[in-house]
Amino acid sequence: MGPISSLISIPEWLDLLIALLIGIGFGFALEQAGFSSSRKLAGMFYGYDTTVIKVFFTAAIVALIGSQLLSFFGLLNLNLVFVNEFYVAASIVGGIIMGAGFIMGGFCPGTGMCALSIGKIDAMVFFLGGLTGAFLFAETYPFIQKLANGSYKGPVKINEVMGISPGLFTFFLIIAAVVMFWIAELAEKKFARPDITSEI
Amino acid sequence: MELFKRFKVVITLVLIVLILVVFRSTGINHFRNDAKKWAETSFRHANTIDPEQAKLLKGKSLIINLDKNTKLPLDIAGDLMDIPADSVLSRINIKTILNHNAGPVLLFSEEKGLSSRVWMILSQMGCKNLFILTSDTDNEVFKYKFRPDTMVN
Amino acid sequence: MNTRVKFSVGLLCLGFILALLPLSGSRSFNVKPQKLLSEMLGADTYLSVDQVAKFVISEDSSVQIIDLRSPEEFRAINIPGSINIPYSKLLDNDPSSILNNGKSRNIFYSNGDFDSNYTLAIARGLNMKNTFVMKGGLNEWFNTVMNSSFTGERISARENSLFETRSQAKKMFTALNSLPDSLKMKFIQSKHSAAKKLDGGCE
Repeated sequence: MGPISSLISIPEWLDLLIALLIGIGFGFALEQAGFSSSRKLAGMFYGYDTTVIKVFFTAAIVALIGSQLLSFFGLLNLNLVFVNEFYVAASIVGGIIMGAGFIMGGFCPGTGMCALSIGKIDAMVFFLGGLTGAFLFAETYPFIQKLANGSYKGPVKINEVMGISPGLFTFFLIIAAVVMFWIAELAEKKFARPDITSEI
Repeated sequence: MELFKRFKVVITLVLIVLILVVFRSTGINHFRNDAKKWAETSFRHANTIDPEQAKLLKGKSLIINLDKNTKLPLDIAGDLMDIPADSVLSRINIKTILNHNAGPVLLFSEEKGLSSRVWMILSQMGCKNLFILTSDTDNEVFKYKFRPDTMVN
Repeated sequence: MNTRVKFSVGLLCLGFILALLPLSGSRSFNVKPQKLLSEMLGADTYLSVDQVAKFVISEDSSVQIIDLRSPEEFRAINIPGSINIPYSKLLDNDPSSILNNGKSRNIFYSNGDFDSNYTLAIARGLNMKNTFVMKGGLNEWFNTVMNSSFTGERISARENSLFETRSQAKKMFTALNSLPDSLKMKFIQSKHSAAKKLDGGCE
């Protein structure tokens, strides 16, 4: 809980316990939102169910607003928050593979684990596939190393690239999210599949 | 009115955040955002002032003596306050420093390390127009000459 | 009006407040002012030139000595084992990658006292506790170590020990700084420790 340890110092076991409780809460929330159903997740791509984008985008925005407000009040040290390192080519290729896997399998890694925990067979097979993919990645790494490590840009943040403050970027993102939610509602009406949505 | 009733939860939440933000922005006992911005004048060594320059300020400055039990050894006109370094952040003192608008605030200590540390703390708390009063303005100049040993190769 | 609309309006209002705030991605002090002041008034944040000389001659790898002067001044002369982070560039990148490098002590020095003490205040303000200042800077190093001499007929054990330390430090300083520039920089780079990065993410 690095960012919060600037406020209070907590022993490591408590740190890990809090992480466990947050993880349980996250899994519970995902399952309750219906994200252990592959048909609900695949609905994002077919248009009949846009819950995925609404939930994840809302979660990201709430986290963004919350973390920035906490940072402003001096309660959170944002400099301790990990920022992913950006490899352009790897992100594009990896994103395409991940997207294809998502729509074919109907799960992403987090929701797949969620479904696995309630005993879904398709999630078990999905996970086997994921582990196979990870194994193949490791075994073929010498051949794809150049792609994986190419065009490295470092831990960039979008607002830094755009030259605007984090707060202003958050505002623009919220506007984009609201517009996207509105489009998602329209898509649900246009691509409605009551035969599927009545069951999930 | 109808709109207000429908959005009362949202309005309440936003108002709470707004009030907290206003309190934080106008409060004095915390550090400002962006350490680099508030340390800027020290990067250019533009935050020190010598006694001759201080005399030209014609008494508009607030001079703070950070040393305990020693008087300011310089003869400069201006508001002089003896504030030992350990009480510079008390509510009254910090308000006096931050609200001094007539001219610059000058920090003095016989120990340059002390005045520079206090300068950085006060600057990061939003104190603008803050300087270190010192007669040793070439403190960061290397004062010796190194003679290499030509036998080393 | 349904919950989604209220929620969207709430988020937009909060976003608008955030857009007006003076947030920046830059680092800010994250300790309480009074706590930082108490630390800054402590004598334990200073190390004497003799203490630093001991670290230099023992080539103590748990200690990192940081030269805050310009690259040109650093190239001309520097304390053996030190790395260069010009004070004016200190906050251009994340200083924690250098200062949270697992070293037990990070010791700052400049020519005098101002820059090193500014840096200490910044480092402690960013909650980097293992940071110290060599009192007096390079000027004091020269005054104490490079120009050390013994006068008198008798020398106490303590004085002898001090003199020995200073002599050895002086020899190391002279040896390093008498090297031609190209060799000196190679030697310094070989001692440069890699910056530690934050761990995290799905790697």
